[in-house]
Amino acid sequence: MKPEKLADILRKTIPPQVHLPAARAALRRELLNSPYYRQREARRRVKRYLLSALATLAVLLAFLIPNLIPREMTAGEIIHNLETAYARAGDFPGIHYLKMRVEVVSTQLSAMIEEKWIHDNYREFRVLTRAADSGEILGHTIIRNDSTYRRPEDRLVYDIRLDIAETDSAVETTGDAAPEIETAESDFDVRMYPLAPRPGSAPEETEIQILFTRYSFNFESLSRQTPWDVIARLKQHPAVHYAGTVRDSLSGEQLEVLEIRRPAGGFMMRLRENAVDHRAIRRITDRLNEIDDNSAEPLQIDSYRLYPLLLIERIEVDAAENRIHRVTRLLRRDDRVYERSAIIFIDDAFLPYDPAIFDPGRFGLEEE
Amino acid sequence: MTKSTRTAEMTPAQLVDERRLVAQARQDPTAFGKLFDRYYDAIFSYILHRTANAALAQELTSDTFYKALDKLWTFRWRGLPFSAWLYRIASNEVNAHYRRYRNYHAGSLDDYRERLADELSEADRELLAAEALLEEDVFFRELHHQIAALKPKYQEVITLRFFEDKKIREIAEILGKSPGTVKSLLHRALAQLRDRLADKPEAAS
Repeated sequence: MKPEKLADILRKTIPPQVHLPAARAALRRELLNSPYYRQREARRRVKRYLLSALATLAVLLAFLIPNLIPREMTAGEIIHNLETAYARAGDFPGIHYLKMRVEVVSTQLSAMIEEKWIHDNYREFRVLTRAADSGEILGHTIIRNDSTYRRPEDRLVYDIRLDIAETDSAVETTGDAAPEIETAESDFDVRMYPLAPRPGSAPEETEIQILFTRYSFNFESLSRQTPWDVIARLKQHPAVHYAGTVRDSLSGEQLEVLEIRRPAGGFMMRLRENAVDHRAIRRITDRLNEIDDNSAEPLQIDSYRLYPLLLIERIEVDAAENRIHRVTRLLRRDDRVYERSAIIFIDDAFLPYDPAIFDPGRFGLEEE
Repeated sequence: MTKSTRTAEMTPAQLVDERRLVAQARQDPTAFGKLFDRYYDAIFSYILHRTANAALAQELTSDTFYKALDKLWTFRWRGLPFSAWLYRIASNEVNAHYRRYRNYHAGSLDDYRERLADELSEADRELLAAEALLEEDVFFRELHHQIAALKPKYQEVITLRFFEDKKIREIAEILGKSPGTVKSLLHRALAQLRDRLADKPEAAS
């Protein structure tokens, strides 16, 4: 028999057709009531419970995590928080007490500690300045009822009127240029520092470093700075950015760092000591004043090549307390720092008003 | 009599609907009940024609649906009717059964006859009737006897093709093989069956 014939036979074969309705109904009942569905239901309930528990946990974590994980703040957030905190403090009716350390480093460190008591928007003002290393009083001044009182032997005599004029509306400053530490647009100042001789070099090979800047970091300009001035400058400077965190070497606290980098509008050059020609330096200074160049490119004046300097201002903020801790200014080219100044706000407090704080007789001050 | 258990080919819309029904059946016994109603007869028929034993077919059909329910969460939709998956499970159940019990003799008619008539349930009674029907169909019993001697893969294709009236493409879907492979399997199965029938002229006649 051929397979095709067998296939034909099979195709025509009608196998027995059997139906078992009772068995079928029984099986259906059993299947639909099987533990599978009961377990599924139980599992579904557990799953629903777990999902709702997870959702609750997720909501809780969403609230908690931002507080648990340190988040990198933006410069804008830090400035806004500072401004809010200091503005609130500015409404205090008592005496604003500021204690700060001012450092200037060029070839050596000079530092002084300055304390200020300010009442009623400088209507009463007292400033006491000491040398940081010896504690010697360098200057002590009180302004009260439009009169100025000083010690006759003061070595530091500041133009307090200028301080008041600049600081009076610092935080409210919005449209005008932010108050700078240095007096802007002054003529170029020239500073010459001899560099330490290289080992084995002849005395005539000693190099002189010459800085041409429109300002120098000096105590007068630095000590005028208040936190309000710093905030106003931060608010208005387009180049301010967040630069990470540092740990304060003394307190161990973590501080957020804001930074402003810009061309300093100053230049530097180096000459051998025996090649320094003061007439040539004067010519360079005159030329710089004429061209008023703030470019970041090296300048060629006569046969001298001058390299532009970068001014970096770093503001360290205690974000937990919303307090400015330190302002550092660096004059830099490449990785080398040529000058550095720093203001450290040691104490910034509000005291109840006490007229004795502004009593010149108590401190032996004489009216000018 | 016709080969009435044949499941109709599904349209794309029916396939989409069945996919939704299978998804529902994972959670909802009512949906599984619909699938059961749709395919019980076809699966029972296939197993019956593979085993020629009503009691065994009932038992293996039950196992098939229990296994389907248990493994429903593993079912992955491949664009084929749900029945293809059920046929595959049924085939595996039959093959596994014969591997385990080569001389199976389950629920024979005598077992029921020995019981008192008033002890028989409705299901027992319909099973007795089914066994009697199968016993009467000598031609089918003898043909089944010869088919059952073939390898399971040949039994599968012959049963599906000639007793369940499945098309080559449908068999290919059920067995997970290409239509060409199914044709070749079918050809070899018929050749082997022919040889067996040639050795038993009384069966061939």
